Amino acid sequence: MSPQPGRRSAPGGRGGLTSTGVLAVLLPAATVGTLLLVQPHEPVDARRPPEPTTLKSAAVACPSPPDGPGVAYVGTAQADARGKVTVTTGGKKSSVPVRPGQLTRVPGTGPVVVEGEGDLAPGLLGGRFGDRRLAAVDCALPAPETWFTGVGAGTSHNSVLELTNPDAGPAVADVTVLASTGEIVDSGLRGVTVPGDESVRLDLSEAVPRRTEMALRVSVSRGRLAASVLDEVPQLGSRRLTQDWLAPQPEPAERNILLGLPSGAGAQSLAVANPGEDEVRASVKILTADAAFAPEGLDELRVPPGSVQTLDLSRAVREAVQDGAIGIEVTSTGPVTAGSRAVVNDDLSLSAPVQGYGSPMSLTVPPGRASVLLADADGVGTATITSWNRAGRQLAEKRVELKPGTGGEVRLPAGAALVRVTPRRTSVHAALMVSGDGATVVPFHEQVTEALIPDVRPGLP
Amino acid sequence: MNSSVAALIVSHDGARWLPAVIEGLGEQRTPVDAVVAVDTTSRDGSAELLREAFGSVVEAHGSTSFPAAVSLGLEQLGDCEWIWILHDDSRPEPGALEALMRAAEAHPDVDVLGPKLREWPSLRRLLELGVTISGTGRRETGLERGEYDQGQHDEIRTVLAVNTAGMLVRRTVLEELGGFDAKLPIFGNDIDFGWRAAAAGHRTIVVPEAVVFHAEAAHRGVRRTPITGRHTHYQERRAALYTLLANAPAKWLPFQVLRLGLGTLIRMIGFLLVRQVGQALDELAAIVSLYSSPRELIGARRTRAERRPAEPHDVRHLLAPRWLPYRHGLDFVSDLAAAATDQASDVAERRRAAKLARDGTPVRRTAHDDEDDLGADSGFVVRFLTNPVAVVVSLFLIVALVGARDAFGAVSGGALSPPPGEAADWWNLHLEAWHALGQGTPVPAPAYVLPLAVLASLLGGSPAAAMSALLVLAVPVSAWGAWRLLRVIGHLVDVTGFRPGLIAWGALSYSLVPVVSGAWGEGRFGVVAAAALLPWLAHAALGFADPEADRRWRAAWRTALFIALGAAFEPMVFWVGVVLALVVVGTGFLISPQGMRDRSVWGPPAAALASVPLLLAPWWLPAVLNGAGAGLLLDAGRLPMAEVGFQQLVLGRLGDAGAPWWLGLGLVVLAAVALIPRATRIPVLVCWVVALGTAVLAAMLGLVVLDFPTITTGAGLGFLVVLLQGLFLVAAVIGGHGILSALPPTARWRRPVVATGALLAAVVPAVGLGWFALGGHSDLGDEADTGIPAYMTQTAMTGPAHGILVIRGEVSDGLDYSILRDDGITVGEDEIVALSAEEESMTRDVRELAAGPSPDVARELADHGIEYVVLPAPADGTVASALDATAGLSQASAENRSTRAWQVEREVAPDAVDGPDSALRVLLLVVQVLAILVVAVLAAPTTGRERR
Repeated sequence: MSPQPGRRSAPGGRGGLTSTGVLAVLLPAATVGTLLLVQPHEPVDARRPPEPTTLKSAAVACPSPPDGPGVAYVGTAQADARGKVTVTTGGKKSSVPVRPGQLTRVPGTGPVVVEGEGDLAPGLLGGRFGDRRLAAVDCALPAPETWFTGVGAGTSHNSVLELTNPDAGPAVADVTVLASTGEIVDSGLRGVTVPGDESVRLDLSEAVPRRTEMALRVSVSRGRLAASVLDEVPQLGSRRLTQDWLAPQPEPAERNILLGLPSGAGAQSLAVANPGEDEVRASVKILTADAAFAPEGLDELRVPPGSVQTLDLSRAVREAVQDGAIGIEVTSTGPVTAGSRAVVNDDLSLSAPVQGYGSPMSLTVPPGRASVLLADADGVGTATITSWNRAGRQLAEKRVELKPGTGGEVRLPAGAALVRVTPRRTSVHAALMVSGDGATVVPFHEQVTEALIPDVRPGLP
Repeated sequence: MNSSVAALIVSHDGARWLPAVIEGLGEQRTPVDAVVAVDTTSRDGSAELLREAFGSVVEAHGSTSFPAAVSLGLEQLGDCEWIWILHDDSRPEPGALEALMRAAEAHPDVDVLGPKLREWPSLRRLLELGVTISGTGRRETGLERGEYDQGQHDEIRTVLAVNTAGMLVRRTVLEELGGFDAKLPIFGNDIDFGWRAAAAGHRTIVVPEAVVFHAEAAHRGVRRTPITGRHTHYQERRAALYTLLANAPAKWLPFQVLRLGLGTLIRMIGFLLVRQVGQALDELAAIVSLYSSPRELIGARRTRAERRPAEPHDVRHLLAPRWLPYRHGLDFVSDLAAAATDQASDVAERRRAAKLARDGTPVRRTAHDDEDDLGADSGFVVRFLTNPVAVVVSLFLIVALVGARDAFGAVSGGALSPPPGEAADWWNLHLEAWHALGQGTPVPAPAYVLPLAVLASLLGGSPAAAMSALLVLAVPVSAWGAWRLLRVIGHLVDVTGFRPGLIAWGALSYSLVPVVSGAWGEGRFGVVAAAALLPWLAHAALGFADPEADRRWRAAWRTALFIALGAAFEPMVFWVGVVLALVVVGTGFLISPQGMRDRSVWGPPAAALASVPLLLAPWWLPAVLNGAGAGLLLDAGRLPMAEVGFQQLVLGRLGDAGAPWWLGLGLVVLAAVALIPRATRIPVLVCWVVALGTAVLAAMLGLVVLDFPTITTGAGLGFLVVLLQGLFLVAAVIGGHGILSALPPTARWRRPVVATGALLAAVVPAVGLGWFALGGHSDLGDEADTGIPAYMTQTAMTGPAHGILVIRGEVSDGLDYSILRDDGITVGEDEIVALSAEEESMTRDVRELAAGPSPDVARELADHGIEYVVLPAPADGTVASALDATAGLSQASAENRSTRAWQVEREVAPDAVDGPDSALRVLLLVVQVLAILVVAVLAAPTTGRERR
């Protein structure tokens, strides 16, 4: 800062280039030029995906039997895992042995929680069957969010939601109820507390009596809960009482595939719930083993935000089943949940959307004429269907060639008690359909063999 | 006039003054009856002079003290009633003795009389009219320093004592009291004598009509005798303490001993502060010497007690008032403060004077015609209201205070964490070597914790008040600093200086830089503090251009303090200082290698920078040793650093809380336009050179990527943004001055052109201020919602081992965990946490916890000092269910339903986060304190050493 500048009389009054004049141009240019080189530090992508690891501990909960005492079947889908799993029923814990391919009976009145550790954690599975007419459910893993669409709370049918807490601490669920008129705000089902190692049954006809179809969203805000819904059509005149479980849907989707269309005389309907903020238009296609087509005379379904709408599929399905239809596809302009119900030959059967998986999936098989329905493979590949009888002996193994958008139907031999679908090079949607004294559909779901270890690091407070 | 008077002259090496003394004695209108002269072996012919004048001289040994010499003289005297004592450097006026004798006659009860002492040889400055002593031992004359004799003290007064030079004393009294105390060889024997006389019931008066001129040769060290030695201050001080302790009433004695001891400490500190080490040591030596020989004092007290009447007379009314020492202390401090703040302001003046002395070009300083002052006789309000600059500046500052309303109270938000509860928290943070943060860490507290702790302690121990003050006062303080800086730059650039309006524009525009940049709104208090300090720092650094080497050195220490303070908040201040010093000194060597070789030219900047590491030693050294050296490149506050690129640097923006970007264009355009006027082009170019240096530094630092366990961020370039804006502004002001000076002063179009230009320029601060005053741009607020349930925070306050583990994020995108202890992360702790190494075992435990139930995790958490685990909303359901299923964790409640919390059922390990003490820390703290003291003392202005 020291230089003493010339005053007005100082030299520099002549025209032309002066050294200070040159500097006066060069310096700002150099400064700005240098500043252009300054690179701000760009924030890097903060996503750090988790690492998979072998599951070390798992629990599944089988819902209570429909009425009175019943039997749950417990097993493992792992080929080389054997040992004992912990079974909790009616507040009592016991150990039961489990061997590959073999199912263990667990009798009892209430829900059954099965916990497997170590090798028995991955592939832990269980099933519960109805003992009146055909009804079956896969014992569910606890999930933070579950959807049930097409439940009822009226005279035509009524549903019971059962929440089972596999842990010692209490768990809390918030149950949101959507109906045709929108969300039912005062359902009293928010903040349902389930004490540790217990279960809670919520009869919807008491909580939210409604005549129309509804959808439930079970969101676990505390602890872990396994949720199941048992739906029942009460006896009316000559009509017999019929029950079945509704499989859960993990989250709304824009494309939902529901498999299992029972054949025979009766009513078939589809319920679609729109949890979004905008109206959704949903259209239905019929799926066969190798094609999908839109049935004639079936309009688009408009679902206002927050509401549940139903569509009568009876006619379209009845015709299509003759042509080998195995399921329906619901495509919508926004994420929806769906559920189909059929009362055929006085038997209730419920179907929920099936997810496509590329890894092995297993189910217990209730007695009856069982077949595995495959649909909508996303690539060229195969699916191998292996079945075992109750004693653990392998009965059959069949391979199905799959092409994009196709599927198939594989009959299981009589006496099959356990079935596994192993897709290769493609993912496929699969469901187990059993008919006989009525019908029941159980979707296959991915066998959880891995736990995700999150990327953990110290963070800013 | 029947009383007889004998004059008694004591001399030692007084040949310089003796002729005048002898002449004065001879001129007396009332001649003395006898003269006895005592010479204590002078080596300059004093004895011969005396012998010539008075016939005979009593020769005494060279080490004879004044009291002994007086006794010797008395022995030689015949019968006489009065003794008139004269020093060899005191010349009486012709009427002196006459006046004294007349007073003695008029007041027969008086036994001791003293004249009015004036400065040698015949000046009007008053030296003494009677003396007394204050409670701290100071010799009190009751006169202002250098007070002129205008007859203002011309009445006869009763006093405690009078100086022995010119003292007229009854011989009987002198002998009755045993003469002067031989233990007080030169100094203080007059006060002691007066005190004893008063205690014995004798009265002492001062007769102003009698005038004696006194050279005070011994006191000023002009004359050294074997008795005074080199340490006149020591002798004086010792005499004063001796007088106080020997004469004080017995009941005050213990108090007096204690008080003088403490007082000595304080006086020593005072002397050290003004770099008078010798005097400080003299003080110490005096009290040590006196206190270590109690026998001497006891003897003195016994002698006094024997000579005193049974009921001693009360002398309290003759002593100095009790408050006097404190009043002197206050005067001293305020003088020092005034001198310290004005040290550099006249650097331009001194350069000009030096230039004038070199080449004799007269420079006339003219006032600006358009800024005429009203007469000083107008009232303050009138002067204020008729001064547009004063009014505008005041209004501006008021509006700026309104704009800063977000920062009142306990402020936090953006990069600013909440302040800790008490100033003690900051002190602890600064003093501790190991911090109970996270899993415990040896990473040192950032350097700004010390100044903040001091500020908080000054503000009643409230860190909230300190942060609030920092943010609220940032604008006024930067405006003030910029004003001072621009005024000095103005005088450096042009002898007439800048117009006040121009300075005001520059100062106010600069004061808004930290605000409009967004640093203020984002809570980047480090940038704000550095921006407020920058003009003060630059002002101090201008002292390097001082023509006097001594002032350059003092400027160095002042600059060092400012750089250290700035670097405490923004380490970049130091790095910029290094780069600029290299550029400037390097350029200096290129231009004038001969001139730069002088150590007092390159030395001060080097010393200023070299002392900063010492001043900040407890921060950077442990940081480097503990792998936290990256902190040397970070801005203060929470991470990450603000993104700084081309746009931010040119437009002066930092983050999103700044004013609209186009407002930033104004300054850079003005700085470029400033290059047009030729008269001021060179200083503007200097600004641009510094800007280029800053740009180069920014470009280099832009490449730096700092990878911390928690986050990856760039270096903190906030200060560079502010510095560039400051440089643009100084350039614009200089250019503005150049343009104004280039306009013909008489042209008719001058006024409208100037007015238009001023209006356009005023847009920059006016819009900025309006934007600030509107508010609503800042992230700052009173309360920070941490999402942690309040009862947990309360538990955490019970001890550092009661930590709260907070897990954020989702399994799919990765989880971040942090540990809160005590009152959470407060100002000063962000950097420690961010720079601490990752605790692998903790990360592993959190991973296990999140991946699924694991039986041992709860125990390990307790061992880590974790009492609660919290998943703030929105909690990841997978992690929450894993925690729900973990044995040893029980669910805890939270206000917010989507926040999940658990309590660890085991007792936490009480020593979970304890760490080792560090001798190094203690050493570094001592080094820091010493460095601050030494640099502060070296930076302080010199006071007038002693009366000369």
